Amino acid sequence: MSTTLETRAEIIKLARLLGTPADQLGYLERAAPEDLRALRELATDKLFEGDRDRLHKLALASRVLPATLGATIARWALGALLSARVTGLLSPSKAVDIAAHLPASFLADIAVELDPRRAREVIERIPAWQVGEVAAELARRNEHVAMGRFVGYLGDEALSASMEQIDDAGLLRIAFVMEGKDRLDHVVSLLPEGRLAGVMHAADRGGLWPEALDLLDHLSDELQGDLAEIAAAQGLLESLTETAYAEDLWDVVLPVIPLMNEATRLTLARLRIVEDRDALAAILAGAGKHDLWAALLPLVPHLPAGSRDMVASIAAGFDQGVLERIVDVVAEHDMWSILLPLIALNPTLQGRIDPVIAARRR
Amino acid sequence: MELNLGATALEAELGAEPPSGLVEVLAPDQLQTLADSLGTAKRRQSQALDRAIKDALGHVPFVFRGAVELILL
Repeated sequence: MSTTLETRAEIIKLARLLGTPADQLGYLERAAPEDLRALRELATDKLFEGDRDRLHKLALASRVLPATLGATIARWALGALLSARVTGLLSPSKAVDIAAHLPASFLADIAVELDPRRAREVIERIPAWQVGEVAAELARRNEHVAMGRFVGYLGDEALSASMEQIDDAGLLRIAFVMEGKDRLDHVVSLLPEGRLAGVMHAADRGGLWPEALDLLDHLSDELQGDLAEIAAAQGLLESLTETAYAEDLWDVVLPVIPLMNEATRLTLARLRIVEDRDALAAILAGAGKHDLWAALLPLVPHLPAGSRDMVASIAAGFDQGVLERIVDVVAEHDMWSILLPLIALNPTLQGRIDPVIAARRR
Repeated sequence: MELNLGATALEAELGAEPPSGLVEVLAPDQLQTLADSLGTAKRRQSQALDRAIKDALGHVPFVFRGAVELILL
């Protein structure tokens, strides 16, 4: 997973929790995402546990009220913040009964203030149609972080009902900050056919390629290949790779190359970006940094002749350790038919790598 | 070992030890800024909750209000 993107998503979520603009937390960019997540969970506990005792008394009082009266009191007397805090302290069936008498706009107010971890059973029991209505309201308010916290607690029907209400750009923004991204693959599998193409176009139109690349990064091999093919078919690979270059996200893009079909791989190899020496150097540096030679090398034979020359010339300047690693990977994956024609293009590279190959074969 | 006042402040606001990786990577003044942000969020949250409870009490008949206030505030 891309640490850069994970950290960026964590900063957005922490900023939302602290009520601080995310750009004021730029100093956290060096932090590991797992540390930021742990910090956010500690801070959430602190913010949500502080008044538990007095709210517990309020919850006890709510338990004896009929649901219709409970809903009236929640809406007109308690307000969203208190109702959200009390939700997790009520019995789930009572909370769901009360929710059934509340409008979507007020439930959306509550959702923004709710810590879903404390109301898991309630969320799971809310009917799908009602979840969809609340999602529509939250989407209208651009409450992507709030929605992202709920995804992990919703059943398939509720997820589908919600995704119908959210536009393509909204889906990308929510996926970027959602909790439990290991579920993303399943969530995406619930999307109707054609929706992913819309999502890719939304990334292109809205400057949301980092969010789209993060989505790609969390999908199964099969869906990664599908998404790459959709991007190629929609003519969006150029824009996608330009973002990968600008934001140094080759660790997300390169692993997808072996999952592409031949036509998509060829499209990738013929993009303008591979004719730019600096971009090629960045791609090779990314492959070295993240040990992605096995993913990248199969692309090399598809490159235009000029780009292959540039690759050989850049590789001629690699540290000895990097050349040794490339030879190891080539030997391990039997990629000699890719490497040998490449090194033949540049005498310096050949002079440096031949001894490495000879040593490896001894 | 040198005392990291930023880390101490953050620990006080969290009521728990902050993640060690964070303490290693952030400068003490950055940890202090983080602690201040959390402190502000806690105060804001507590004030919002107090306000919400007071607003809610406005709907309780006057004769019962004192007793309910005792429970909630």
